[in-house]
Amino acid sequence: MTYGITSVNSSGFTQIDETSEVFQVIQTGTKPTGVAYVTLPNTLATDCLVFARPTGGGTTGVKYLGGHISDFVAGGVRTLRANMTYNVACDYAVVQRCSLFTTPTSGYGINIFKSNSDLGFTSEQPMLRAVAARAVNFTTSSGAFDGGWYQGAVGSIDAAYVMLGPYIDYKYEQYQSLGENFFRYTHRKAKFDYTNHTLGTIATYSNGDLQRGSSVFTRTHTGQKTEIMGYIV
Amino acid sequence: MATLQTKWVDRGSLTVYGITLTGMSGTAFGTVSNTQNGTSNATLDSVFSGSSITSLYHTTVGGGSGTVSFTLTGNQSNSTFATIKIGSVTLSRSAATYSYNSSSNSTTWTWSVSSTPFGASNGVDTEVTWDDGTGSNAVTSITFDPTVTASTEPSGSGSTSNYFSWTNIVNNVDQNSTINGAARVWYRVTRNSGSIGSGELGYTSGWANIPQSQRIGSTTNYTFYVNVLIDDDAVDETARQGESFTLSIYSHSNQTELIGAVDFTLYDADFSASSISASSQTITSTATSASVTLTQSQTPEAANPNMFVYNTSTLTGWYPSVGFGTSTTQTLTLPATMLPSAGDTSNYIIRLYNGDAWYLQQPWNFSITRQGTSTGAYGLQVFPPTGTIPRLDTSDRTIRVLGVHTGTLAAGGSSATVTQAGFSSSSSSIGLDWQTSGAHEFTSLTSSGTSITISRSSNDPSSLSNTFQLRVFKI
Repeated sequence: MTYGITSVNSSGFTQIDETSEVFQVIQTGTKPTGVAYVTLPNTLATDCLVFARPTGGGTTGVKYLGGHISDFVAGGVRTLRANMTYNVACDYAVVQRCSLFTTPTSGYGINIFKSNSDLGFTSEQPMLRAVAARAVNFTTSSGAFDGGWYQGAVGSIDAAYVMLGPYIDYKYEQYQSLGENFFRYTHRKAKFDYTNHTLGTIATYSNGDLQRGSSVFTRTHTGQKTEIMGYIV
Repeated sequence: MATLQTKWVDRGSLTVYGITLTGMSGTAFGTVSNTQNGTSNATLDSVFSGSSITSLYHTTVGGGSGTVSFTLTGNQSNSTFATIKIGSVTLSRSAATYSYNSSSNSTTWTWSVSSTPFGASNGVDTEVTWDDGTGSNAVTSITFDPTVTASTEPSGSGSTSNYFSWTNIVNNVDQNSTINGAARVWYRVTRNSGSIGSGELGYTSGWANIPQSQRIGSTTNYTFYVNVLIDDDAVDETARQGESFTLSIYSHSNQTELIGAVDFTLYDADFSASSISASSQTITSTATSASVTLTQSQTPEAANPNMFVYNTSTLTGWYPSVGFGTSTTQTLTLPATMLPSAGDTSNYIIRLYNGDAWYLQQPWNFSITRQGTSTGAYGLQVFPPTGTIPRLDTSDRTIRVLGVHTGTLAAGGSSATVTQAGFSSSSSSIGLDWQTSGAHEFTSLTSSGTSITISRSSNDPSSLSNTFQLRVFKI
């Protein structure tokens, strides 16, 4: 090995190697309650990720957080928004792959390079440290809800962030009951259970009336997603 | 009959030339005390002030006759008491022979009594009472157990009332006494400290009933319990000190005959110390102590209750040398005995003691993890300049981006397919993150082999093109 370091745990999983590339923090902020989204600089690369958590994290109680990224062009202008649950104040952090950074030359800390000379890790920049991740698959019958897919030790999720993206409106339904028509959204949200040190995914709902005779259907957002939990350090 | 005083004679005996003396006499035989089997106490102040019993015994004389002799110190008048009752034998003072011996400065009453009233065996106590014979409304033969079982005062405003109880032990109540006849005593509770708000009580009083079943036909040792309702005042009391009260017991509602009184305190329920928390932490494998800062959610009150920290993992407890002062934070230095072993995590409970009861048991309040030793830890951790979370920890499974794809989805139903080397739709170590600029419910993603397709439904009523972003992770 010419570059980097390699660390493999006893289960055979590669923990870090010469192709590893961590995520550096390029912007942090807070979305106050009563606001649906924050607008990010439209100069950010398309592969930037946004992580968020209920403001300040927590040590007890349960909080829910939904959110996703909207990256669209309107009137020839690119707009990049990080949408988060309207009535929840959130801390957010925009992260980008380490290779896109200029190598710090402070002379302190550790820089680890990949075999192509890209920076894989530097201790000189705040970063996202991904602690847990899982691949999920949404189908018409399952939104991959799991109230506690990550169980950590005491304090392990107190300061944790989740990646925005898989916490979207999973399903939209229009249905009829007793001659009246209604709609219902199934919101997919991250569940921060600070008391029990678990991170999960839970469904919440919003309902409303429709005009009589409205169409009846169910539409579901399907496909693979990834849930990532980590620390902004 | 009103009892002036009660004593107990522990029978002793002496036989001299065929004459047997039973009872007590100075240091020669027997003792006298205030309580059954109690310690020696010969004073008889309630009958004759400043006097003591020199002797009280029965003497056998030939022919089946005998006398009871009662001698006091000093020159006492032949008055004050009407009767003396020894066990079940009542002797009238008016029937006694009265004398004063100036050489020994003592006063003696004697009665002709054929057999001893002090029982048949030495070492057995016999109750002796002196009555004044003035009537049935002056009974004072009640003792007051000063143990008051007080509940804690509610926190905050005084809208919540408070109960407490005490125990009375009523001794030697004559069946004709006021207490026995009325089956009750008069109590009064006065507030000594604390704020008394408008409309609240400074004291409360009433009759406390003696249980009927114990009253009838009994003469000794009533124990009964009384619950009293006290209005809490409108002020959240200071920690530990609470409010001070005095409970007084009278034989009459005119409160002229005090039987006993005791001070007691209603303790504040919570010291205004709530939601105590401490940050969990990691200590090195060789640490010999750990500094833990406890934080309260509000400013505590002016007392300094004791503290107890309990390690629920190792089942060890520890009383710190400091309590929780008036600060919202308190830093403890946990000794090595309270810390986990290398590689282990311990959870801790914090409890506070207000002088009356333990409070604030908060399970899993904080935890301490001791790092493993060199034989149990691998890899590398890189910490930032501040904080306790490593910026790099090779015990994590790292996540890296395999590829990023963007594109456009036209209105009216369309799809876009990308190919990603290394992607496998069946691999749980491959993750995707994607979104479109349109409504979520009209988009979907499918994959096959290394191909990934994002589709937009023809049901989407929007006529605008949507953009999409797709990221492929190795997790």
